[in-house]
Amino acid sequence: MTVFAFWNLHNQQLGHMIANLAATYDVDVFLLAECSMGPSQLLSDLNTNGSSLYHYVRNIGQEKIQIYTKFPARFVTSVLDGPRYTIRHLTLPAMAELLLVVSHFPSKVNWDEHSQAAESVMLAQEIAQAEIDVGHQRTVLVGDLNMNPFEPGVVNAAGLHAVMSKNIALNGSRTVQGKSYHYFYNPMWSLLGDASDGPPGTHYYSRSSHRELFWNMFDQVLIRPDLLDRFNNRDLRILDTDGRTTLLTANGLPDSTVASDHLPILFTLNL
Amino acid sequence: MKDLWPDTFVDPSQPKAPVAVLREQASLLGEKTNNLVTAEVKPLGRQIGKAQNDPFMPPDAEPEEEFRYIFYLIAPALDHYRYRLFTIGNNIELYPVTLYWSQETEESTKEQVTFAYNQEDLEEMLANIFRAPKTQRVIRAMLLQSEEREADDVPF
Repeated sequence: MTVFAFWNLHNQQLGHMIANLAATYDVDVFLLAECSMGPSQLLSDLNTNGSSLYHYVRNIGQEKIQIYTKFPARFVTSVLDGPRYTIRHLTLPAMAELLLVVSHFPSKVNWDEHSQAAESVMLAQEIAQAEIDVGHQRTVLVGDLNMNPFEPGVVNAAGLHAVMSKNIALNGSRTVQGKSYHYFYNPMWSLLGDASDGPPGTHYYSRSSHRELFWNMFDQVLIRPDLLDRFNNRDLRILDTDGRTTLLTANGLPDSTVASDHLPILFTLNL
Repeated sequence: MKDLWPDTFVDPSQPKAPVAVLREQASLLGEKTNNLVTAEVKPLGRQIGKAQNDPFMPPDAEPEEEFRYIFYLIAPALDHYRYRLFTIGNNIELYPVTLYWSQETEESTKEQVTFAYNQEDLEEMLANIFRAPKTQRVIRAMLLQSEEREADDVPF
């Protein structure tokens, strides 16, 4: 079982908390966005007390996303980088190969819904090409999409085409106007709101406007059908503690004074 | 039957198509890097553009459909690793061209949508992107890692 954690750190110095996450949840792969700490600082935090030695996976063109692994970095190769995403190929010995897409999408502060949806089309096409290049569709996309699971960029067929039901995703693809589009399964739907374990979303924002969601599920993991037999919804969590310190305020909101304005997500793949 | 078509559709005074400008520039990079870093222009098909940000368009203008092309940097020695440097879009009239790219400042990196209204504008914007510190860093990283890989691959 390979444990992945994604966290948008909001440019806070959270090395100690990442080390706590590593120790508590036995994380194999850290995927970090808005990480203002350099690799030497973070590796120092990660490797101080733990029994495992973490490695920094070197970037080529993508500087916004940092990746740390428990296994040697040579098992992670760069396939493609864009301004807001990186596509890596994990080829661990005696395990299934994995195409790992990590993204930090432009926020709604800078881009409107149309632009986010247009960028999703580009990302979807890049993923499709990368899948052809590596010869399989065991693909997982994880990141801060700055869109909710129900927004056009995530749902549209020509976008990420991520659906809420495994049964639908397992159809593989569907054809719209003569063109075939592959599905992603989006398990984050099951974590929206109060009826699931854990917080109602990964990011909280409140304005004095007529339409306000308050909780958003910007941080997501999307899984291709070819990986679904290696994924269990029970192993996907929005974390509200690093194992020692709560990441929430007394009101149950992400505490950006202690940690980040985003909560980390944790998931496991049986590669 | 009378042929009502003009003899030619070519107008020598017409500017080059934006994609032709990109392809010319792409062909020049390999020479400067011993082909360790090359460039490629890939059509992305027709997409909905972002006309509403064009200062010469009314603020409520609907996004238009445009032809999109991605400009990639490629490192052949790194299993053909690709880096998406920028994207352009233009409608059937070629100009204006919309450029989608990331501009780096001291504080942050911002996604930019800018407009080139003719070939000269486009060339000036491309020069700015090619000379940007981020582009230089990416090409240097690709060169260094390609050289390392080539050294690793030398048989003994």
